[in-house]
Amino acid sequence: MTHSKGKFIVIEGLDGSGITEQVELLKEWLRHRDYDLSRVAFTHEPSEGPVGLLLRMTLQDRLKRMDEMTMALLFAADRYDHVTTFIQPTLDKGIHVVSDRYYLSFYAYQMGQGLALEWLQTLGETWIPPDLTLVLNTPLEQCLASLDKRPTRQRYEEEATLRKTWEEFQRMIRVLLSRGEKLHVVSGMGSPKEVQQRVLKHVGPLFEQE
Amino acid sequence: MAGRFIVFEGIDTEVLIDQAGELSAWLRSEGLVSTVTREPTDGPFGAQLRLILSGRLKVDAFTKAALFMTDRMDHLNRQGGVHADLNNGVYVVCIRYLLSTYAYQNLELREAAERLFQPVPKALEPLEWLRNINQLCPWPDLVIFIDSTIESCLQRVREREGAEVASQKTLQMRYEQDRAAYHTAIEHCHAWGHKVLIIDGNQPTATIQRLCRQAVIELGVEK
Repeated sequence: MTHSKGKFIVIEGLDGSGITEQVELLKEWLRHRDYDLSRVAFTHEPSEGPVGLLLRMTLQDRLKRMDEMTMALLFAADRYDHVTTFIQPTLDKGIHVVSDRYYLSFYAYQMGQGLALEWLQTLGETWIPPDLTLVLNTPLEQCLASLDKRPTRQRYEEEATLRKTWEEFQRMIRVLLSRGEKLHVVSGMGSPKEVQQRVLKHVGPLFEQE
Repeated sequence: MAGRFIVFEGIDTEVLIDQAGELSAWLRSEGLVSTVTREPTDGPFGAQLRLILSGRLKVDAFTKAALFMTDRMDHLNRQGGVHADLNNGVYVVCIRYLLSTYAYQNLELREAAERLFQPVPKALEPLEWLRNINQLCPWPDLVIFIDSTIESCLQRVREREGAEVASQKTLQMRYEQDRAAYHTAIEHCHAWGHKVLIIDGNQPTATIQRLCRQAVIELGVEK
């Protein structure tokens, strides 16, 4: 499957690494440059679809806690739905898609819970690869401090889990790079504006080429 | 003491419900602990699947397949789920499980994969893909496929709904397609070393039940 029209850009990182903030700053940057915002769509995972709704309820522990294999399958179901109903049709219309998280987070978090990469990759056979993935490398202490400002911690947001997950991020980054995916690790240290400059170094040219 | 995992499969759900209920009641009358369960389950993912199956919620074939697997994993692993029951020595009688997945989703996924890829990569051959994804789900101790005739299924629908002749034709085609899909799936399961007991559904209910009980006895009933 190919998407020759819109560009698919993904921002990844640990919980509390500042992904959502960077996506908001990117929107602001585009607005200030009078970029036609109808030509770019912003999205996130878990998605806003029916499976994403269930997923959010599980992450918030509002649904009784499920084992990790069930969680992995639920994340996969949400991604199939997200790709089919939103990402692919949007790219096909020539609209760029910027996603707050995609499959790198899925692999890293689920591998962090002990699931085998081979099984997870079987689930991912139909997921379209991004044109560009940026991974925020934010120190764990900074992520935890950011999570402490939220009312409650969700599943996967404990220190030991995040530490293990970051190890799996690094492992999976190597796998994706070896597959030829375009991926950059960006330091998440410093103020949001400082991080934004690093993000724009990679993302900016995609929007300026037009 | 480990329980037993017994699954009923087939195209006529009402027959499966009747036979599963009777078998479980018989097991209890024999002094065993038995429960009847089904897929899609009554859990949160089963609820979403029922919306999909009734056509009220539209999703693509891969989403649907993954939701079925999510529901199954939850069915097996949740607190008080199939695994817990089996560990507690319960005879779990389940209506539909893996064979239904291989039968129904094979066709749907093939169409979806062909829309996405030409040619379809080997890793996405539907039955192999489904088998890989479901590799963590145990094959039951006993799988009973009740091979109902198309005519008996149609007769049941006529009695229940008084369906028009035109819709009977559509139904007939659907049942024929489903029955063929089950037989294809059974062939694959046998090739993978998974046993499926086929019982001719065109027999009196009591005869079918007797054959089911016989198969359970052959498993070795432990009181």
